[in-house]
Amino acid sequence: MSFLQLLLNGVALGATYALVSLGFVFIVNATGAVNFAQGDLVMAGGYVAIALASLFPVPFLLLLPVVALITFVLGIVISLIAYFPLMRRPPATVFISTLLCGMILQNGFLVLFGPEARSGPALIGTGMLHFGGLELSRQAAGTIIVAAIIIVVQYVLFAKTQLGRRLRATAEDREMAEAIGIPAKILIGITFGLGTSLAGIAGALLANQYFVYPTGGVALSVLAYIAVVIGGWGSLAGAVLGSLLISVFQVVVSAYVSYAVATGCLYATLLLIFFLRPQGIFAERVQRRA
Amino acid sequence: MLTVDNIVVRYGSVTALRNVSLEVGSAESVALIGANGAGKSTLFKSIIGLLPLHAGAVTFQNTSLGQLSPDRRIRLGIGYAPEGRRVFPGLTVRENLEVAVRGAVRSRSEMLDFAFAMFPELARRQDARGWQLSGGQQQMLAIARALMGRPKLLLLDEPSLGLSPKLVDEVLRQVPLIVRRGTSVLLAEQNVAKALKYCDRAYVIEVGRVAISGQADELRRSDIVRKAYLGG
Amino acid sequence: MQPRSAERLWNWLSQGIRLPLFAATILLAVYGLFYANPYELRTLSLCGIYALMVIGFQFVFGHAGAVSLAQATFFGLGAYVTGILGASYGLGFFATFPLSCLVPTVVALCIGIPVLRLEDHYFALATMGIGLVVVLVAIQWQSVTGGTNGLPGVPPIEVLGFSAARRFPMFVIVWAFVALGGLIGFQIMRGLYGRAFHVMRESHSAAACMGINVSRLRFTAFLLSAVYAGAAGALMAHLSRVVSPENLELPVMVTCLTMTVIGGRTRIAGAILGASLVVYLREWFRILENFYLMAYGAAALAILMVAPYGLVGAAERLRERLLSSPPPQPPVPATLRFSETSVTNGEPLLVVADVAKAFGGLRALDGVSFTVAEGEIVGLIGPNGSGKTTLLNIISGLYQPDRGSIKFLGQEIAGDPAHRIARLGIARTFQHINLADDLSVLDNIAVARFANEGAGIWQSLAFPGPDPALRHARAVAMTAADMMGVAGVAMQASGKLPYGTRRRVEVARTLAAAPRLLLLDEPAAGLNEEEQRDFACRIRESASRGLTILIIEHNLVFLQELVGRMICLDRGRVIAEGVPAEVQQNKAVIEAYLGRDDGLEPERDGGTISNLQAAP
Repeated sequence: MSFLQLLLNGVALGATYALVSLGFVFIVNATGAVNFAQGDLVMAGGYVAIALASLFPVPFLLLLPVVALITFVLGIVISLIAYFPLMRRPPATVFISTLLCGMILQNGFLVLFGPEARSGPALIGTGMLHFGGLELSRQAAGTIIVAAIIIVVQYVLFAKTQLGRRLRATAEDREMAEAIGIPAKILIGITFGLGTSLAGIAGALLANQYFVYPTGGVALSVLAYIAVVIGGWGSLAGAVLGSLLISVFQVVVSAYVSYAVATGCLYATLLLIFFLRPQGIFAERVQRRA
Repeated sequence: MLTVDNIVVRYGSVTALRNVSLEVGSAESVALIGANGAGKSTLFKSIIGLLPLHAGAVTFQNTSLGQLSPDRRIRLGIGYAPEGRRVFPGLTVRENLEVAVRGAVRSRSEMLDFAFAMFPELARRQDARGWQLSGGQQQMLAIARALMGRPKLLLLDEPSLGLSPKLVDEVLRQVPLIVRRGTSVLLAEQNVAKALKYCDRAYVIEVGRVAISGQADELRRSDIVRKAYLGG
Repeated sequence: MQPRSAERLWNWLSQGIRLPLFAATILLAVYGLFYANPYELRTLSLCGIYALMVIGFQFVFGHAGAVSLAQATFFGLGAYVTGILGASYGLGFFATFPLSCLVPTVVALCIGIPVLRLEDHYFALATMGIGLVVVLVAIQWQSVTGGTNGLPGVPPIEVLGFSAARRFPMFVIVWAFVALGGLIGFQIMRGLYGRAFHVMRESHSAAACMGINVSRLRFTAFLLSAVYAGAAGALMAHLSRVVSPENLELPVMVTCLTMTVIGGRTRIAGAILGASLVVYLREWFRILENFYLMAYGAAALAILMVAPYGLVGAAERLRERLLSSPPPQPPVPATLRFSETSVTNGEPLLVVADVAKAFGGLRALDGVSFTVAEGEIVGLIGPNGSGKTTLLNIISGLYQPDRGSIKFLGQEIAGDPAHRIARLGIARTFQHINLADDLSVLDNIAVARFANEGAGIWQSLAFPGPDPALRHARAVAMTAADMMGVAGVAMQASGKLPYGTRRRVEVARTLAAAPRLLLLDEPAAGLNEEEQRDFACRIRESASRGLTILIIEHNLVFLQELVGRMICLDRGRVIAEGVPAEVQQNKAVIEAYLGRDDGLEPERDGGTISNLQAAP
């Protein structure tokens, strides 16, 4: 495969990773908490897509909003269990509680869908697109487009709308946000839900090309964590960039060496970045109030 | 408009406020003066609801604030510019103001114009992010932001902290103007001279209770307050 | 047993929840020794192995407050070392066990130095990343590690010809190690060294300015965690007779974290309780088959909500509420010796020369120079933003100056780390009070004697029983507390005390280390007039004992009675220096505080500063 082809495949994968990481960063920014169930919510999205597709013969694109809604609600439930009751406790406690929620989710998947790996429905249909000597599956192309649209939409939401401003204000200083009349708890819940619904959408998009299985989320949670640290803790652009870097690395490098070695190189590079530029690529200059 | 009735506020075993009562009527400016740690910010936080009351009651426009969450109280018509300003650091000046406006889009641009008219320097720096502003600019922004919700009562907590005396005057000069436009002001200040200069009435808080109260002019001329703070 | 020792033992036991814990231990021991079947013995052994890992984890996560995700990695490394050397090379226990403890420690040594510089989530992620690399190596290096399937055939522990192949001997050996590990852990953290950890995890700056080498403490904790994890891993290999990548993977780390958080982050009893509870929860829920993970997760979550600081802590708090115990007796004060003789032979104690510091574009200090002679009390004043606290931070070593020199006792200290400067004899307070809320007033003060008492890990292990360093530190701390008038609340937790009292405790803390130079940052802030007078009195008394004091203050009324000399900063430069009366009438100083053309009401004696309440 040519290098450009690999790059293209990497970008296609990276687009979905970017959604997962973006959702992760929303939650980090809003709550300061690391949601280690993020990867499991990706699986949830995949499973919901599979379940819905087998029940309703509707085009997949129309199922995406439903997937988003269900994972949105799931996110709010998780925030009610794992975050709000433990808000004032040391941060490691929330880390563990999200892990435990993830574990419960995994068990749920196991019970409802069984341990075998499943594959999800295609987005636009099967088949390949050809251009300039490169080829891209329709699914992958559709994935890139959907991901790009969502990234743009979330950017517009946060940068240009009043709701977005309020979400940002709440994330920066919750007490002060309340002191100007913002119902902070509700907005934090919404942010959590938005974060997890992005994961769900990513899951629905990925389900066709990659397998969905109960414990598949763990690696994705780790990935989102890494992408966000590389990109700069708290930076939305950084999350996207970090994800792209990881996916391109994975796809390109593992074409030349084994997957395991590629992953090893990835982690080694990550550690190197830590020691050279620990604040990540887009270091957040703004100090957040606890 | 605002009645604080015999409130007691505690942090664990420490009683930060004991039997504090005060009143703020409509169209007046009231100063709350006292040294650092006397309880002024604690009083504000309990009015807003960021701290719970151990005893007593706070009433705003005949509504008991007791059970309401902070954001509900604010929406009743209170504006709060806290100690340390706390502008949203990542939001621009415009966004800091916009986010505090409640209501239709049209009212947003109206309120922005009002804010920029009040503090022209903010207009000049409207695209700067909160963290990029100087202390004085942040203080102006905090006050303007608190007014974006069209409150009936503005709680101003220690605006002079960290500002040069010149800037303090520039900022506090707005107090009578704000009152004239229909918003009462409760101003907490360590800087006695300035507070008494710009307010109608004053309460002196010492170690958690109200020591003296009266008209600002009288207090300024009397020796009690001077002795308490200025020595001699 | 003598009646008095029996009484002392009873007193010790009836504190906190020691009695129920002791009873539970006896019950469990009896059960294990006489009644449990082999399967149950195996479960109990598993509890012990995890307990050992968690005790190790508590050093870095609980005491040092650093979220290390490497514990499972160290555990797995220990298991693999025993597995590989035992199964493939036939080495015996006396060879494999020490190596199982050593290898993770060496790894910790190598990665600790770069990784511990990182903060918070970066540190967590770096440790996780290393773990992931090790897992990959374990899977790929099939010839040695057996790949994904691992290595079977790990021999049982063989000691002097006696094979611990059966469950019962294994149970005894595991719990013997737990007892040993627990005792060592308790011994290390019971005294002054352990208190230093407590202060450090609440505030690195406060700890550093008391002479505590924060990096070294964190590093030591990290190494300790590796040793314990390696030992636990070795035992695990002997118990299950097989090693596989599962021993290294994330689920083990999650389990370890969960056990620690559920049991209690700093209590040995918590480690044992947390480990046992989690292992047994899994056993009990196994009958639920498919739903077992869900039930286990839900149960763990429930415990987390009810007792977010750990079950042991929750139990103790409950006991306090039900049966309050009499407050402990304060110790007898011991002498606090300040240096009374002049050491500097007429040279100034502190010489600050042309110090500058910029933060980005903002020049906080722009060439500040002054000296402080021994025995002086000097006031440092200036409007907000003039650089006073920055200067203090540079002198005490929290910041490095961009240029300039600072000589203390003739030695250049500019750029030295804070803990080294503290040990030379400089102590300071902070603008925002930096006390450990959960520690008693006395302990907060006593920690300042960390360097004086020579506290450290070897010192903690040197003597059995109560830590003599802590005992002496507390006795001296009583004297310091008395000097600041807080002896009456010495045994109370500092978090609940009024602001003024906490201020005085902080100053008492600086006195306890018998420093030469005391830097006070706005000590009078928040004190009422009476408290201020009392405070000033006590400071003067301390100065008469040979201390040199530099005070930052805004409250000029407070300051003018106290200091012999004032230095005024404005915008990073010294603009006036001299006796208070001079400085207060200095035009430049008045302008700095008031600004020009202010239109303020004319003051009684024509515009001196003493009549103005300066903006802080």
